[in-house]
Amino acid sequence: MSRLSQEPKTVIGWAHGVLAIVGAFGLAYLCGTSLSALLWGDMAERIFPSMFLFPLLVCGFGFWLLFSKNLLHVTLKIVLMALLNACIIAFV
Amino acid sequence: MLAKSLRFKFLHRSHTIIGLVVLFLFYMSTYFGTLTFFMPYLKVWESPSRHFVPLAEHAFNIDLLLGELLEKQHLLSSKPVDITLPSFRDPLLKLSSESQNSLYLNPLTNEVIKLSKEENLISTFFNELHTGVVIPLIGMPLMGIMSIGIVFLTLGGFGSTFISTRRRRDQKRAGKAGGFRGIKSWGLGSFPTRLCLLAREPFWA
Repeated sequence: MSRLSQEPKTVIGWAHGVLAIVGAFGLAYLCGTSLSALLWGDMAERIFPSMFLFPLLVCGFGFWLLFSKNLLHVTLKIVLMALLNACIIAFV
Repeated sequence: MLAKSLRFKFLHRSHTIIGLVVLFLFYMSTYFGTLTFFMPYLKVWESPSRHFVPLAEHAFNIDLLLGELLEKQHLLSSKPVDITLPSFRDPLLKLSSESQNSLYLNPLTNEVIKLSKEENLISTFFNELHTGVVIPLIGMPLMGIMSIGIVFLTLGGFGSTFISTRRRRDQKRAGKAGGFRGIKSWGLGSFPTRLCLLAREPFWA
């Protein structure tokens, strides 16, 4: 721990954290929606995989957004991922 | 991607803050959840109609009365009738049918019991505290979000343990650290899991 305490202070703050949490939930929702759009079958078959994957997706996106250098990187990741999902939902 | 040295710090800080927020609500849920173990007994205690000593050997004489009761309560139709036998959850015998009021009988005397004024206020209140319904509007979704937070904390906890152990191993190889710290951190990390496994052990047999 003594080595860790000598490292430069990190810039993670409330804005970074809140953006990561909100972004993780939003992206997980979008990702689940696009997964449902990619699947075929009746309503239950399309919705169930997204439903079960949602908590894991939130955590995955949470870690991904958390490990960003600054706020710009977080925003960029959210926007690009949202665009990708929007394309999948729109064109499938 | 973030520098390796900062990953542990980010994980550690997010783990602390999210852990504090999540555990505040989970403590409430777990505390009142332990009381819901006693839910059937509380329900029986709350209802005066169930205050009788059940027989050790049940020999239901409901067959003698069933036809008469079904006819009297207009339950004789094409719809199936459910008969729920007395148990520790509910010592009364229950007859129910679709779109009909359920009928409760005392299994000792076959007496039809009116339950219109009996409400399970206390047990319902504890259950609402457990599920978070007492928090208006956002209670139950909040509990769902907290569950996702627990998944995050679990994965993050394992991640940070893995990072710190690997860091310690590297330091040890470079001759900068003492012997047992890595083992100690793994031991602490796996302690809740071992506790859960230990608690579940009696149920495996």
